[in-house]
Amino acid sequence: MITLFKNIGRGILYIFVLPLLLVALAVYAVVAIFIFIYLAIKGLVLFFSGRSLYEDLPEDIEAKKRLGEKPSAQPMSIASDPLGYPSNDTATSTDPFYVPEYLKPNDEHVEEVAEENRNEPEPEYQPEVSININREEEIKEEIPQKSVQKRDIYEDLDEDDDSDSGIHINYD
Amino acid sequence: MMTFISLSENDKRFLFAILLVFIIVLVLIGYIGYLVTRIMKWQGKKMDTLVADPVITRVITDKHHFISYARKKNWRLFFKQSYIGILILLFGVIMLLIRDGVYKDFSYNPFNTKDGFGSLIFVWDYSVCFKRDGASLIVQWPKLINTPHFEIKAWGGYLFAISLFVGGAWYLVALQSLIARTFRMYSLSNTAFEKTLNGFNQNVAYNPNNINTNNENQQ
Repeated sequence: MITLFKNIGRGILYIFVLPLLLVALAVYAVVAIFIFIYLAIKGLVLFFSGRSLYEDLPEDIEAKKRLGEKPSAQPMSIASDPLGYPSNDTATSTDPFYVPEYLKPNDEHVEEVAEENRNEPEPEYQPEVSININREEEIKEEIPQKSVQKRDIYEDLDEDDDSDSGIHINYD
Repeated sequence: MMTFISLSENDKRFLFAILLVFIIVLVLIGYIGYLVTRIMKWQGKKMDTLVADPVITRVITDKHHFISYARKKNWRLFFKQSYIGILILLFGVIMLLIRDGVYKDFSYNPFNTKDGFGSLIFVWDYSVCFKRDGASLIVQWPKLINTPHFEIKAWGGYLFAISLFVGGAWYLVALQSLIARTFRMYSLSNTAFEKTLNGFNQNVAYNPNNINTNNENQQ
């Protein structure tokens, strides 16, 4: 009910404000047409001089330079990366194609390693860790003896006593 | 007890129906206004994308520089969004001019019901609704003066009207988006460079490296 009254009030408000809004919209539309014509002429001039209307502004160029060289202002930090990668890298929430530095393929490094591998002969396999194959000893050493006394569960079973369950539990 | 107005049962029903319709219209207008506001807020978010990089990298550090830069980006985006609509409008105007040139009729009304866009829609004559006959008022249904039919000679009017509706709607949406981004621009210019002392106490040992930590602890 409150929502309904709110909507009614809003409707009354819009009815009174609507003429002003329409006048503002009309003024804006006319101004926008003139600016559109100005931008169209400017775009044509820039096009024939080999440039574009949508080229970066000086601020954009500087921002890209800073993001490329030293991207550590105050953007979203990846310090809380669950994989624990170094947090020196930063990401902006506006860049949908952002790839952190540690995920980028380093082609030069890969080529260098490949070149080294080609030149070096493949070394023989020499295991550094010896494995104890005496499994019985190993098992005896590893598994501790439990202090459980084995008893025959039927040793105190009395046929005459119906209450006897036949199971004896030793708590020692 | 004096009675100024006596209403019959039918009059009461009629008044109630009018009141109900009035309330429904108000509610609908309220919802439409709410919807427009929500759409404009959504459109305004584009401004954040436009100006984010220079602000985050501290290339822009003051309000006036921000407004100047954001305004340029805003108008550029408006141009990009609206030029198709303007081209459609221009196409309609050119078609109308060609039609006028072909038929040598420059006083042609593209919306008339004979050989204009009006021939495609139902048109009623509302002037016959209320007629006075002596002291009594006669109320009639409006008279149907046109049923939809196709006129080949009205091709210029058809193309012009369709271009006008499509291009005009396109341009208005771009304009609404421009206004929404302008509001957002001024809103951001007030908040993006705001310095706040919330949670700061000068009498507490101040360490500039830990100021954020202190704030977080206090929260």
